[in-house]
Amino acid sequence: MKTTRAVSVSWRRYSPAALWRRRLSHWRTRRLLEVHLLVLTVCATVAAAALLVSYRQTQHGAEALSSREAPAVQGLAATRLAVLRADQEAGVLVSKKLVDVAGSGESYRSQLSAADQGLSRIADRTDQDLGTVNGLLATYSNSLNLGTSMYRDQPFMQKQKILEAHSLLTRPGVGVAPRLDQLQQNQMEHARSTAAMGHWQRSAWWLAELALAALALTLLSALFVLRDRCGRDWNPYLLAAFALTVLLAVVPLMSMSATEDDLDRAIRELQQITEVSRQSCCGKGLAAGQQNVTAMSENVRHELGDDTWTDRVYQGTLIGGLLLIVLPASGLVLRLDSDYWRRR
Amino acid sequence: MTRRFKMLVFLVVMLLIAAAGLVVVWAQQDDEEPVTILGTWTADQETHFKEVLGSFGIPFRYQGTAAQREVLLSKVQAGEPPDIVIMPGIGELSEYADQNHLKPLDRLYDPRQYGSPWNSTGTADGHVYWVPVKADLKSIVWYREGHKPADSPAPLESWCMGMGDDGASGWPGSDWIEDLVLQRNGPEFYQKWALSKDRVNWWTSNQVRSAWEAWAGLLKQNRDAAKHALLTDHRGVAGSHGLLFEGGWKGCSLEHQGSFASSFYGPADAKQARLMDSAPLLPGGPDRVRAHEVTGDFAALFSDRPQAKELIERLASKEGQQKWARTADVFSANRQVQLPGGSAEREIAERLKGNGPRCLDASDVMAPAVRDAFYEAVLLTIARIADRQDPAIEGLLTNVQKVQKVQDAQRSLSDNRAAPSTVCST
Repeated sequence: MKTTRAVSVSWRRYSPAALWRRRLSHWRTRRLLEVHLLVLTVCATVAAAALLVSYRQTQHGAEALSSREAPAVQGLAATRLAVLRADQEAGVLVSKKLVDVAGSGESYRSQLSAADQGLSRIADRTDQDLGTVNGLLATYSNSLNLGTSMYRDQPFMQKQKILEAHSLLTRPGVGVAPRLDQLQQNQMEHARSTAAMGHWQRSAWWLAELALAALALTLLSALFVLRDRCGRDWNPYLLAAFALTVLLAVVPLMSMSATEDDLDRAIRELQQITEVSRQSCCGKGLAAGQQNVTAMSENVRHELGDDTWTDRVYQGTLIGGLLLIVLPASGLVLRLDSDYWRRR
Repeated sequence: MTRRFKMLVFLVVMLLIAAAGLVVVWAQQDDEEPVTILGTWTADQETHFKEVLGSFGIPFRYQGTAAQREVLLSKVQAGEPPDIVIMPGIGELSEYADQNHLKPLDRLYDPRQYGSPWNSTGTADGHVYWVPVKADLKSIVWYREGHKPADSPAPLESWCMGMGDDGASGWPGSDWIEDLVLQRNGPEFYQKWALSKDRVNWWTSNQVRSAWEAWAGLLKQNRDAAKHALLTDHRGVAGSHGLLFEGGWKGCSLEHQGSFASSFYGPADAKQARLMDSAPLLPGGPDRVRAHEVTGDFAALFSDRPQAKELIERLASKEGQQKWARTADVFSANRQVQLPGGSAEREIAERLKGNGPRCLDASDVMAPAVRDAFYEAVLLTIARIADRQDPAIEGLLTNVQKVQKVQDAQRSLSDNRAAPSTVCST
């Protein structure tokens, strides 16, 4: 019995509530509530701002990847394969002596046209200079056309033009394919840095989470003070703000994490697309490579295109952030107003 | 004013200054878009050139391609020309100048530092539109050390020939024809032909036809070797050491190529490469050396951005040219620049700067349409010979002459103010 009482006394003296009560004992209630109001407003404002900025950045990264970076990487891979395929088709045409057959050049022409259109589409999605590749592609196309049309009756001139075209396409470092390869590598690097979370963004997330933690603790403290000193058990505004704080600490973070996972997956697939297009150089592998790239590109588009729920989370965060500032302030202002300010 | 108020005013002023500074820095960053340069140099020369450009401290973006004429045309037509272009084709540059695409380089370099025939003071409107930033010697033959040929025409099997290039195949053959025309007829005729002076049918003249026939005669000596030349790139297979050391016709030991060929050989083999004048070895010879064909890579401005102008100014200066010559072992047309010092290099420098007459590469001076017809006629000549057909040189030259006439007619309609009026130094 004596032991039980001792434990009870000890708890009353050393419980967190007791410790906090002692800590706040030299503050007057009004001042205490005003300080809580100030801290809550500051924490809520910082948390809401940091949360919105960092979530928006994550969203921007995802948008940039889906609307610019990924299509540019996919487009460069597809262009490279299309132009190699055109060369292959033209080679078949010449080696099988099909140049004279009506309509036989359709296959390589359509691939060339696809490559040309691919470059046009990429142009407004990349900051890289495509002028040289465009010019080389036009020269390549010209040589190929001369070989398959103008010199169809002159085997040596035809061979010369086809070889010239092939050199324009594949010569290491300066050909169309190696240049597209280099552009693809650069674009991939760009895509990686777009998808990755930078130092500032990471810091903003930490700031948001820390501010939310501070807000939650301050809300608990405010509830405690109201109960301990004013005899008000549950302030609905502060309770709602607390629930909202927990939600805002968890939901955007989860959403961001899911988005980051999607971006990582997309980057891995873009890397695969790059590898496939680099490894596919000739033979049947080329057609298979084209199909692979098309399929993987579809996949990436699907993954990055499904972003409606992240928009909703952002809108929710925006409204939640405003409420986070308004609710605790309202709760405490109303209390202070009825208990102190109006009585002045 | 209280002390606190003064402090506040001081802080506000400091903040305003800091903000203004930030705005200035920001604006400067915007203005420092790199200078875009399109040139012909790739591989090692590209690396060296970038090194030289880097030392000027002006942000730049260089793209090198052998298909530079086509790339430039596509960029100009797309409305996105590079700030600076570096190319050998003066004929092409003068067309761009006539279409008001080029900005004058007046006062950006001292033309007195550049001797004839590289300086372009001969342009009709008095403005300068291009400056040579690299010079090369032609009318020479490369051979491997210890294999010096006799001073007499060499058989086709001795020649390492390749007509291929990225987009401008055939020019190595046009060099043969030009050299033959120059060594057989001298600079005066060569200049008239290159500039299509007085609207004479130079292409179908006896002099050009006989030079062409002499070259065709050489090719007829071995049709397989002719076929090999047609289907071989003038640089050799990618990664090889040029035609003279690897990849040429089996057993070949001579290469009729400009001084830039040593860059294809690689540093080790280039040390084993020696050169001599081509005149004694040309078919139908031996001829005496009447002049040397030379070529240059000329820088021209497509924009009037101050950074681009400054970059050309630095590059064309004696210091810039000296640095470029030292870094990449290339030759400068700037008379004040000391040229590289190996034995072959000394021989090239003597010919580039000596007292003998020098003529610019004729096809570089011609209008692009004529030049392309010239290259194609060269290729057709070899292809027909390889295919055991009559090359029908008369017909080929008549066709080129037709293209030339159309160009002459077009030129007479335009003011044609930028076209050079001389090709050879006296």
